[in-house]
Amino acid sequence: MNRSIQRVLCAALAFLLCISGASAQVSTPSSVCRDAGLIFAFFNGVQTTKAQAEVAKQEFKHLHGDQSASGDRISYEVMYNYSNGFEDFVETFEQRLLEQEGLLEGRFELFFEALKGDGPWWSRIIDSVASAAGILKGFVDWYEAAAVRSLTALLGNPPTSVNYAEHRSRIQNWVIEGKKILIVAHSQGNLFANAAYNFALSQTTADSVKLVHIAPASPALNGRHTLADLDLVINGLRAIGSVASITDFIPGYLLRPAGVNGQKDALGHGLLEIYINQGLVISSRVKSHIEAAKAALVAPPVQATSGSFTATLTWDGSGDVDLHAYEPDGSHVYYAEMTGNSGYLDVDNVVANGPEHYYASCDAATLQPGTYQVKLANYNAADGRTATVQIASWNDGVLGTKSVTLGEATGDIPAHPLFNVVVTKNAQTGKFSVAIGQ
Amino acid sequence: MIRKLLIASLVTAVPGCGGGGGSGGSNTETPKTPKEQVSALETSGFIPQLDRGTSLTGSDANSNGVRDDIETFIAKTYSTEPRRAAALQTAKALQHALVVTLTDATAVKAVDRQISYGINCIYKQFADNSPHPARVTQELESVTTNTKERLLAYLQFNKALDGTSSALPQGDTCE
Repeated sequence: MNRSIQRVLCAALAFLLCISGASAQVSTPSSVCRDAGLIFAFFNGVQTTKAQAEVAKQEFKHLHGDQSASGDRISYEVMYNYSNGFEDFVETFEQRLLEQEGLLEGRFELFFEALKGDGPWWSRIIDSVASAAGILKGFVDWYEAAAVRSLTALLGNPPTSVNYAEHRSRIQNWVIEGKKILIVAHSQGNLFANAAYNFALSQTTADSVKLVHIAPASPALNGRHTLADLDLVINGLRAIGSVASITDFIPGYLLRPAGVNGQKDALGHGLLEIYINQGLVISSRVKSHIEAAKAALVAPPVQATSGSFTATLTWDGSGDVDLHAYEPDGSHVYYAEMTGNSGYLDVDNVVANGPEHYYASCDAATLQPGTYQVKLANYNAADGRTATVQIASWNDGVLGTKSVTLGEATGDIPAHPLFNVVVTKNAQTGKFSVAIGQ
Repeated sequence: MIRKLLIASLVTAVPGCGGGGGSGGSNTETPKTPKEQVSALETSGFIPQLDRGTSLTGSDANSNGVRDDIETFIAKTYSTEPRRAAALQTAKALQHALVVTLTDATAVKAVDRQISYGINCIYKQFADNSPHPARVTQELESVTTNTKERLLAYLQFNKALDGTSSALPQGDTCE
């Protein structure tokens, strides 16, 4: 039998097995997973730490809930981007701390409050030593210009697919698993979100992916947007180029209620302080945009099953690359043996680009604790291609993403070991957890 | 203009500015210099009193992964044991961020996941918003990065996470 035909038949058989397996996961009380039908992907703004992006994610969950009106469970994910040159801000901050005969010398714990122009600790210091306000003002003045410079530089050198391979692989996995995708971006995150949105459109239709812009640093829009008139960062960008139109007026600094973090943001650009601050009318626009986008989303066709963990393989061109999974009991799952004792290869590709997709069962009775080895083979004609494998768990999202340049074809022998995925079961609680091992 | 108004209001709205009246320390001597006034705020607990040594890890006498000064800050700042435990869990994870091997992408993501679990726990334990979990998280992030060396190390950790993604964990993530 022709090899391609054989593989198509195998794939069809495995797909049927997978669908029946997926149904069983939903109905069985022994499922270790909670599948999500809608992904809320948040792209953070300029000069945001990952922990601060995590807080934003929590706040969005508080505002928009665990479940959509149509019954989809919502999974909130951060698609993190770091602002180049962030560390340079520390040097300037240090200089400011040395002002006034070193009044605040060495007090770097004031740094993150200073980025918003205020905060409880700064207020207490200024209450006691009024001149400290001058130190803060000097830093905020510098920071306003520096933030605009940072965004301008990014606009001139936008993010590339090479730098954000993990985001793209994640999106591809959501599409083949039939998830609705809602992208919400703040500030600098809009540049990355636009790239992600365009990539998603190469994988699915506009019905299945929506983008909501908040204080967009990019003039290009792919969805509804919200922008405050007193957003001094975006206004700074306006002075040197085009930006989105203003949609809302916000009160001046002194009249603003603080956000949930106790800060008002002198620059009028903050997510928590301005745009999702429930004390400001502007937050209702953001909320309505997100709710409308959620309601409009349509699930793409399901091509793959979400599992307790998944391995997704993609590569950058033609050729046949194969995903191989070795389960703890030694079962070898690959195109020629698509059903293992704990998992399945439910998407196979023999032509170009991928994806290939392995998932481990959500059934507690089927999922084996132990180490799952994930390897790659250049089956044929993919010499020199860059192949990427992403491991994700239902609970934590992406656990790891690795890319490798493929060597010469090795057929069924996987020459590229990439991940050891360790599944453990807590003897007391019975709870399963998934991590990347050595 | 807005910032000028802000600064002006802050300066004029506070009675006793510059005289030490806002320090709140009734039993301490009246500070004479602005720097001494700031130190008095530390002593009285209005702003955190922190170790400012050059090491990333500081002193950790009980080897629980949290700097002694941060442990003291947590004990003084947050009421109830579950809240302090949530704060300690997050502080420990943030401390790991300063020393993790940045070239080990898997290790970096593992620390990031521990921070995410810690913040998720804070949102559970501070659900009454008093103080708000967003504020608690920022305080812990700030006290962890209270020196130049620590802040730069922390930003490098964040830089190593550039381009990654992570999901909000489900269920109870408190340790």
